[in-house]
Amino acid sequence: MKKALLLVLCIFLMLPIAADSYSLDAFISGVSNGVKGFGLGLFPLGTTFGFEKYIQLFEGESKAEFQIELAFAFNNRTLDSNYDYLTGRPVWAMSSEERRNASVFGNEAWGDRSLSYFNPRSDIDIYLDQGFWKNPLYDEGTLFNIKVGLNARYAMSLEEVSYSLPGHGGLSSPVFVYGNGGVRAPFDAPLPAYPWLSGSRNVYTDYLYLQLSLNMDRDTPTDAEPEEGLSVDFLLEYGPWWLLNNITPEGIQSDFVRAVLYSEQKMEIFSVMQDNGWYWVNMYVGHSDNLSYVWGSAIPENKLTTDRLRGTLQDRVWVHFTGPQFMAGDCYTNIELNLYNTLMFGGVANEMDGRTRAVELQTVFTARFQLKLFGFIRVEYQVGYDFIQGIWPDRPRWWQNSGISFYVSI
Amino acid sequence: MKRIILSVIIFLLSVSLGAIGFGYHVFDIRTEPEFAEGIFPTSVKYQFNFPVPDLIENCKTEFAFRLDNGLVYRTLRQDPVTGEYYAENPSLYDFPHEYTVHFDEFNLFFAQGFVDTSFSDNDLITLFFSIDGRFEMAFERLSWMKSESETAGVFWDEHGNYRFPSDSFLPGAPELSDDRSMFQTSLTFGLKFDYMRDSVTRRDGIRGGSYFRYAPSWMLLTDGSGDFALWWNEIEASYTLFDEPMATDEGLSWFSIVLDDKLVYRFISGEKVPQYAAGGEMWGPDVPMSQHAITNRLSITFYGPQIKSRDTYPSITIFWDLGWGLGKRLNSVEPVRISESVGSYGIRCCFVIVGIAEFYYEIGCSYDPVFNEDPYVEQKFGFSVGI
Repeated sequence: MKKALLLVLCIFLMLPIAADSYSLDAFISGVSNGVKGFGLGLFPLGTTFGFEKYIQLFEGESKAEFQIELAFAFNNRTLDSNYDYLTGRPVWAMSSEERRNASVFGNEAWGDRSLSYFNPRSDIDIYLDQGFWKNPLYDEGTLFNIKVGLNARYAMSLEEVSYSLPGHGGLSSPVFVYGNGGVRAPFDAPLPAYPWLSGSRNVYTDYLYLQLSLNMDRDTPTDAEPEEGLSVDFLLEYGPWWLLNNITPEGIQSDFVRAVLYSEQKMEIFSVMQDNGWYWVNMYVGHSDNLSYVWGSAIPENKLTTDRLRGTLQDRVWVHFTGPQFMAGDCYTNIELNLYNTLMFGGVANEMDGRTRAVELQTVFTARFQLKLFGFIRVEYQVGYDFIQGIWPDRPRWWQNSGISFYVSI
Repeated sequence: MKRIILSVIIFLLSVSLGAIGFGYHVFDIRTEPEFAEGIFPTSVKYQFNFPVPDLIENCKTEFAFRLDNGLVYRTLRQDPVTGEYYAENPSLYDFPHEYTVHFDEFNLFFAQGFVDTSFSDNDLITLFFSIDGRFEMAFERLSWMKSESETAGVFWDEHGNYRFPSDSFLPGAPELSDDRSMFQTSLTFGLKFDYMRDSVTRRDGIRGGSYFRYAPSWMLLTDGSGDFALWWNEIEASYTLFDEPMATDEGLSWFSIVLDDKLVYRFISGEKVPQYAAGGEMWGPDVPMSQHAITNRLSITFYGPQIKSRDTYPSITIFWDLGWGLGKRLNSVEPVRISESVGSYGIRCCFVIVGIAEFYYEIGCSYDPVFNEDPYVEQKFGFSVGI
């Protein structure tokens, strides 16, 4: 039934496009990094791609963008052992006595079972984006945009891939089932704190969204040019339980409303041009604030915030250097220094009685170096320092990561 | 070390190009029935085009990097230990034969066309050369161990024991040996010709190609799981039997009937032939993996009407597939020669929306299945996204 409804919805969304003839243009916006142990760590485990088309909906206004974006990824995830799976109460809010008796993944009764599982997943995102009036700082952009869309996600939680490989235990230590295929506790009962792990562990969730944007900035398709100006976005996501979501005997998997307000200000500091119009070097500074809050009784996995607090206010200040552009316009390096201050607040998502309230501050500094080649290869190195980590009493620490990925910037 | 070499190769290839910008194509999007009932994608083939100038005026020069990655289902057809065909004794092999393969394939290729044909995007003759690589990892199907009735897999039986040795070479399925992963690089040479007027619902002409892929075990970066040479030849002829164009919209058609025939001949030699190289696809039965494989599809398709655009239309195809597996049995411990024919026929109805979304229903009868399998009727209904 849900499949049929989705098909009907897709047809309705696509019919206006069909009436306007010719095919959509394809794009590839990202290919995930490889991981260790899979194809020398170089081969991708997922891809994001799609089709877009520009349609004249209103005379005298710019064309609307119709886009279908598809994505899939297949890799392992780790069961989160920070929440009681029956009540959703976070471990940090429990007394010592409560912690000892908490129903959390990886507790003493868990034994030598792994916390790692295989998580193949795929997303389909369809939207229509109509711009109005001309952006004063960027001729090719519009001042005001309205975007409406539908996002659908399917994900499975399965035994780890290596579990079926030779020398990895076979049927002896699965996470979700016994060797005879019977479902192991606690996955044989509802898990309100982890609705995506309840029942069949196959998740199908949908939500509609509306985004309003005010763009008075120069935000070019690549980040080789200095950016400046002001932009404000408001995003509302609506994913009620009755909207094409998977409803299992163990309960609903998704029921939420999420609102995000984002503002960004950027200012160019300097730029030095080459004779051919490319940059030797340029620099701009930026500042942004992001306020978001999620309401609802079942927040899906991809809409949970760090530490599951419903509200987030993030302040970001950054400095961005680019240059030089070489060989081709889309070959360049950039360095970005960021300072994030994130305040998380409110109740704990997916907690049954909703009695826990908290406020948490995280402060993080990051420095990122990127080498971009020909519009489809990105080599990246990032280092960061966590000053304050709020609820979790970890010490301040340095961290780093690096990677190579294939992508296409639109 | 291999990782470093591969990274350096990718980097040098990139830097030496000095390109200005890239085009890209998405070719093929696949789904699997056990993943979201076939609605969500599980694999995609796409290509980045390097903007090289045409070396011959009016003839296309193409230099591109193609990637194909994702997750697909595959069926085990030969005993991994002996190489015997399961279909010869179906009752003896009473366990699921489907498993999952997570794969990545890349092709860096150069193609040069010769002789421009005014009616087609393709040149009359195209020569090409590519460097290829493919990584695969095989594991049980996605539904394995999801319930008490799903404990029997391809690699594990329901009691938790290996069906096949896990610590030695498996001649019948070389890519499933040891850790069930493989990485094979290869070189491909090809020649294509195209003399086809193709406008979606009308086709007239002929096209074909001949390709040779060389994948020895000593190729750079190869892990030794494969060792084969493949020669692939195909020819396709089409003729529009009837066409009723729309009076108002130039190029659109109310109704058309097209007759097609596609013949493929594939030759493989080598000691370790991975299943992805086998080819010989048709509706229903699989052509057994043998040195020579021939398949032919004769079909008649009824198109129309095209609804306000060239690529939104319904169609009904009636097809008849024939296949032959001849000569030496591949990946076999014993030297066995076969001569086996397979056949099927059926109907495919589909509705295409803007050339990317397709709703389809297929029903077919395998009247001459492979070896001792019983004739059967199969049907599929679904939705797919593709180009």
